[in-house]
Amino acid sequence: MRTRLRCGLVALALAASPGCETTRPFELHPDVVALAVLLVVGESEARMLAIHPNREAGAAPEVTATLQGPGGWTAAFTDAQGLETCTLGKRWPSPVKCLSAALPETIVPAGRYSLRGTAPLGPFTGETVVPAAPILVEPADTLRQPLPDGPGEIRIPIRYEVGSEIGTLQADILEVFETQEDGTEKEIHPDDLGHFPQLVEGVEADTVSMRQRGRPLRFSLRLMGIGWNYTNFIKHWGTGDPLMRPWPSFGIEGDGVYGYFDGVTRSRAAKVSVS
Amino acid sequence: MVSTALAIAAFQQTTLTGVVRDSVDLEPIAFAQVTVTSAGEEVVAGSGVSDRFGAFVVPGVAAAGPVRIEVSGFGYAVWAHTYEAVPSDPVRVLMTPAPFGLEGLEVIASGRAGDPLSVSRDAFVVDSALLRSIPTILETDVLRATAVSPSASASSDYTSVPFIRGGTSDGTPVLLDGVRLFNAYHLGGFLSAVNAEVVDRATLLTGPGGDGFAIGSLSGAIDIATRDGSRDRMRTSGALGLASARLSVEGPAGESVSYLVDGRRTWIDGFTRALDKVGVIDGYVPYFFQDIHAKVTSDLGGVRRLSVSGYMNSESLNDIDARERVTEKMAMTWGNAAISVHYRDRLGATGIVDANLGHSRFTSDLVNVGDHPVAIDDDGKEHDPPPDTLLFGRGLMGESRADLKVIWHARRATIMAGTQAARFEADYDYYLSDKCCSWDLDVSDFLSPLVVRETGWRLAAYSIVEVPLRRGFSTRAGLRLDRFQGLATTLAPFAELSYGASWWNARISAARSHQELASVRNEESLVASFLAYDLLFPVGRAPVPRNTEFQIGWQGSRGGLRVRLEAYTRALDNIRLPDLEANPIKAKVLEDPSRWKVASGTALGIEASWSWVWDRGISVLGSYRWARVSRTVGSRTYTPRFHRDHEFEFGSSFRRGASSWSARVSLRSGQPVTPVLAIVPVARHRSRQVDFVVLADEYNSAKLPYYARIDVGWRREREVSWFGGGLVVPYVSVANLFSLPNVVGWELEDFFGRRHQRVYQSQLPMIPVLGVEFRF
Repeated sequence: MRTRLRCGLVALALAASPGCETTRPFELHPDVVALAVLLVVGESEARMLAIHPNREAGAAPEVTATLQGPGGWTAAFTDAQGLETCTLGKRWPSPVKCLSAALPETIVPAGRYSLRGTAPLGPFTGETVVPAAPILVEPADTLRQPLPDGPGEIRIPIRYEVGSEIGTLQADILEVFETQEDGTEKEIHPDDLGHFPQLVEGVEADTVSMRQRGRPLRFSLRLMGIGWNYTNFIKHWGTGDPLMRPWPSFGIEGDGVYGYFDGVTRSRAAKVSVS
Repeated sequence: MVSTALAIAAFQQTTLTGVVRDSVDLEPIAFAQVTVTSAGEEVVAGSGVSDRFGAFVVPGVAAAGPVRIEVSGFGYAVWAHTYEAVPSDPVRVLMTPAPFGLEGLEVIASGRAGDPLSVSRDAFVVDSALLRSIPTILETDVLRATAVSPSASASSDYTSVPFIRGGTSDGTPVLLDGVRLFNAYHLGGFLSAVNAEVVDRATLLTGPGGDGFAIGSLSGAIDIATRDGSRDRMRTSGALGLASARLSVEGPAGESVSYLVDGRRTWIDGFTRALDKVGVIDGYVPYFFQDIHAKVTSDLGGVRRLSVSGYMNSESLNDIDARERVTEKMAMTWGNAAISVHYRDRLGATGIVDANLGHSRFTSDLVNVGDHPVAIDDDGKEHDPPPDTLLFGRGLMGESRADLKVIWHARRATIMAGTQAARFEADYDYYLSDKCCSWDLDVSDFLSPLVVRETGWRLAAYSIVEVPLRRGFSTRAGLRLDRFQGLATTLAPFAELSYGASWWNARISAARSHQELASVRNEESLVASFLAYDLLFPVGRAPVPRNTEFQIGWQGSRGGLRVRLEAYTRALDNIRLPDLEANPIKAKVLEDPSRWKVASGTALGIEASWSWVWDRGISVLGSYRWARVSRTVGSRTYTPRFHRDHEFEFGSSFRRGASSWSARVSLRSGQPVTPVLAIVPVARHRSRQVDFVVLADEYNSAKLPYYARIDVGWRREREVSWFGGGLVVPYVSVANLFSLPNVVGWELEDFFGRRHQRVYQSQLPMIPVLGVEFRF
């Protein structure tokens, strides 16, 4: 709009404007690679999503990588069968592939892990310490909550304790069962109740909100903590605002290699019933 | 015996004073060289230079015996007269303009008064002749013309007011007849608000030392002086251009009084409305600006004079076209007014006292009423909400100022002392809905909700002493004391040592200055390149913004060539700046300064300028500047977006008969830009949605493509017999002759939600301009 004003006031008055904006394609390095690695506590598999962010089409990036865990064990990443192993996202605008590594032992909280590998523009390294699990203080093991009268959301108050190493805290629900009119229970997808996992931003307490469908529910509620490497990387996700250097650590270093290397931990699960 | 002889000699010395004027219209002539010699001898008994009001004082002239007084001024025949003794009364020097055919040289001739490099050691002076020798962009523009100085840099083609040596506009006041003119431009900053018809000269002071010491600003000043008005007969001059028409009328009012009245009105609104009516364009631009200036000067005899100058302008953008939706209405009006009174008198035999009173204010009144987007209630039904006020606000900034300055010309020293009292008032209250605004202008792009109410008094006393030393050396030293009400009392020194040889001189200086004013502008915003408007405010808390500057310079002239070299370093402390935002280029230009931080800045540069005249009517004026500029806010240090490392300007004019041709070449390195390294598609943890993370290098760590522009102009003077005889001067100019695709910045834009592209914001395309000036 302001361009129209500028053209209007200056060039229009002069009848001399060939256009006040020009567009040019980006000339970004096509061989740059972005890596996304989140180690999940309790799992014995590590997954790595590798992307050529500056390409619109073509082959997925050639990346070799080895994960080293506490005690010195190593595990090599190999191409995984499908993209869904790494991500729920389906529409990727750039060449992308999923790699996975079978681990000799499960990912442990507070464990230090390192990454070493090569990408098209050179070697890269990575290091992260998986955060300790967040502590879900409330609800206790079980919580009964009345179903709200009329329209409105189901709101579950939560209290928790998290260490400073956690940058992102999410509330997740799973094993969601809805009581049908005939009294039977039917498992539904968490997405039927809203977007999950849900970001939790209070210092020590917050509220988990979900859509209500007018029927009793029961589900498990837990918290997931992710470290600062991931949190810093997605700070401006979807805003178009640039993440400018000097960057905080994302856990991965290397020429032409960007991305994050971090860990996810889970709290205990509380059983919640809404009826 | 010897002491007696010296005492007699001292008693026999006297002071010569006078005023230099044009013999036709009696306008004062500044920068005229006055030389006094004992008649029949070659020994110079004294010399001086006429000041901005044509006055000169030559102290210590031997009183015994006849003396010859010779006065030379640029574009005038030498005036010489022999007196039996040094006149005790002020001498009235009436200089006759040089033959018409030499005027081609006047434009940028060197070695004489009138050359931008030679008339002031502290400044770059653009006179009315140079003003007209530069190809115009839309119309002759006094602020744009100052950008030929290597110290001045235009932040973009769209803003006429230049930044000085890494400073910003809040540190460089634009003065009109001694009073500050806020936002001295129209059309978003594109055109300066001072009518070129009445400008005698614009003096670009580059720093806080020397002549800038009395002003007390952070980054020099642009001092525009208007003519007094002719005293021989009534004269009319003006111009009809594509954007506006301007007219000035001047003449005598009695024996010793002259007046000058001038005005200008754009016809952008009428022009575009006419194009709209005939179907050339769709819609019109409901915008206008107008300004009026008047000055009355009374010659009270000798150096004594009294002048009153008043100025007023207004701009308006009113979207009240009945064809538009009646629920959308924008009414934006803003403008400024200034008045100044100047009185000059002698103080004893060797002193001149200047007293100035001035008041200036800028006001704005913005309203926008429009529709909110369609609302959806809890039941999912759509509603058309009633029209609402999306933008509402008033703003005022004003300065009242009194100055008293005395200059004593002693035989071995020149002493200047002055006092100042100034009160600044800032009162802004702008409300913007997050849905603002309608029409083609998205006000929310440049203005954020803003409430500022601050006033501040400044009291100052200063003095500078200039003393010639032995063997060609001389020195200037000064001290300035400022009391900023409620903030601090500051001391600012100035010292300079210079050496003059036969054809060159050199100097080294150091100076410091303070000012309590800061700006609500965020220069990192991309829109800042397109809109120059500024709102100033006195900082409410200490520390007071400060500039400390060191400078070394050399200047020489040989034949028709004059060269000036200067190097400087400047440290700006305690300035107020916003933190770098997540995406600074998308920030608002005018923001709430309550979140401004105490910041700092540096500038370091080397400047070269030269002028050269060939006796065949060709003259050139060029400059080159290299500089580094930085700003530091918190832990972040960056190069501001307006800065370019290298700037090269080359202007040339050629006159043959009644026609003159001019060309100007500008080559500049690119402005800083933040390079994007990758635009990474990412899905957040356990999310299906893929969106982008934009990874960028350090802020402003790369450069945009270089800048190149060539402007050309032609004008031809034609004598006509209309209205008793006069001149008609048609002119044609083409700015950016080859329509070179210069850019001022780029933004990252999402292309259909899939791929990103950079959208370049262009500088001016090729703009042909034609018009006609007239003088009767």
